[in-house]
Amino acid sequence: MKAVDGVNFTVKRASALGIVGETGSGKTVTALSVLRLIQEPGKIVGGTVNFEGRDLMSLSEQEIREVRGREISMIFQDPNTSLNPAFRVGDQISELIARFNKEIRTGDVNREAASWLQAVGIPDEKRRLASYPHELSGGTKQRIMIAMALLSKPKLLIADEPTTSLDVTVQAQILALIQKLKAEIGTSLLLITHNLGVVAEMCDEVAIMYAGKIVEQSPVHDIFTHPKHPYTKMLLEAVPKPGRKRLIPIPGTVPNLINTPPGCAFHPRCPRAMDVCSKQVPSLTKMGDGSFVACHLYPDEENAPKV
Amino acid sequence: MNEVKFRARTPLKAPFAIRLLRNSPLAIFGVATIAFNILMAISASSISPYDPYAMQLGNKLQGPDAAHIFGTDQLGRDILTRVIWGSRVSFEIGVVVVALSLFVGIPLGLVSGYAGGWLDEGIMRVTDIFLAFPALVLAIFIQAAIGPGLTNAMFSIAIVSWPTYARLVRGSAMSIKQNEFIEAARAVGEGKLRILFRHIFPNVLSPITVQSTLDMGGAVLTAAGLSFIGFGVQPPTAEWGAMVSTGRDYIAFAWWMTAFPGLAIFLFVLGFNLLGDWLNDFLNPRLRGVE
Repeated sequence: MKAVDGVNFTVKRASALGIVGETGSGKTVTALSVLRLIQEPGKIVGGTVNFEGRDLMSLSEQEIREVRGREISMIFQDPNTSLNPAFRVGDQISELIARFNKEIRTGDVNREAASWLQAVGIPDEKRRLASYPHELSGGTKQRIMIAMALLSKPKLLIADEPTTSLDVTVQAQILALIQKLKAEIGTSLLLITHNLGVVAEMCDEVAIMYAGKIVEQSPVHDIFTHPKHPYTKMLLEAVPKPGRKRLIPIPGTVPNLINTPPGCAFHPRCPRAMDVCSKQVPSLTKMGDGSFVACHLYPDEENAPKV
Repeated sequence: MNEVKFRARTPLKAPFAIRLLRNSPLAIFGVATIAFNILMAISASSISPYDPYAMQLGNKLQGPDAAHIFGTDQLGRDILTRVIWGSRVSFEIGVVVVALSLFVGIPLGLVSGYAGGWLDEGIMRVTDIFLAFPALVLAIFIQAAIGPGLTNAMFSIAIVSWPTYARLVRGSAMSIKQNEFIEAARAVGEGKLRILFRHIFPNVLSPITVQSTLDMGGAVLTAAGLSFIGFGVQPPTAEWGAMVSTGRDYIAFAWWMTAFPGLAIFLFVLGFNLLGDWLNDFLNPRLRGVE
């Protein structure tokens, strides 16, 4: 069974790409694949990840470990389980600092750990460093995870639903923090989320995923003003907005990946499905305005890049 | 590796431990018994009234009186002295057996739980083989094969007790590896060994602590059993099980020869069991009512 198939995207330097999709659409698998973190029994059967001219898929285990954390960092969904409960927060941060900077002196490690806590907006940093993870709130823990992800000044930050398990008020703060530090460090961002509002706020480009494939990819503004794929349109109609009386849910559920419908995976739920949709898989096609869509409603306008 | 330690201003555990201990008279009794045993073992040479091996044949099989509070054995040796010296052997057995079991069980359990697959299957089937036999019976088999003696006794008890640790650690490791902090460790490029020992191992310490404590008593009990049937510690060593075994021949008219070493075994094992039970409550976060 293929959780993700034929996904192709580019994150430009210092810009942000959002990957949006329902639960089970393959967002997280895509993110983990970039760093080759897929666990047994899962397997990456093919593809390339081009990172600054290197193919991460062809690196040795030792080389990819050097990339992890140093050049590409990750923030995970649940800050409550992302820190090791057996160690003080300060020890966990210091360990990373010392690892990325072998020459640093012990006293400086301490100071740098404290300054990172300040940078992510945690007050009373001395006491926080001496805390165990269970003594901290989810928001604080996620701030610490952000500090730990960024202290190596990575070139790419992968954030896998970084705010899903947090309070709504904290969510906004965390997103603002990521955005601020991203600008300061000049990191690119790959943001995995199912929240279109978050994407509008944070990203330059969006890729919409459905059943393990990208169905539409375009600059963030276009997604909201000119959505093309019927799935994108329906997603937008399901988002609450001021003045919108009722939300229109998308009928049906995400297909089971063991038994994906033939042709376009979305056709059983698509209001505009045609005969061809159940027979032929639409390919991701470049549109005149620079966006990409995989839908038979939009036949090849130019020579579509094979994806 | 640069290691930096941060200290919390208020250590949370100590006051909590004391509070919990205060509410548990059984645990206090257990701790007191162990403390008493440790004291006996450390100061055996200075507090015991006689030499544990000095025979006074003219004074044999004396009942408890003022000169010999626990009486004397068939060779006129002071039972009290031998019971005191016996605590040393008991601690030696307990500590060595538990240490050997941990040394074998923890790495195997960690690898088994983290790696999964055929490695896990292989290791677990081996533990199944060991656990399929009653521990004491298997220990007797092994000791019968390798011969009697204290060292062999400890070795054979360790062979039957490591699988428990391997299984315990495996179970914990399997649930701990699901946590995102393991994924996070991989995402910053940490290697397998480091993840095993640095990230998973510290989180399996609490169940191991409980099991080790319970096994301290269990190992001594098994060793006493082995000595009793003549496999374990050999006379004239002052070991409780061996003393009970010798006393068996005289039980009709010298009850003190079996009763006092037997009581010592009972208290030693009880003390560690009570402490182990309490540790289980204390270290189990589900019973604590705090996150």
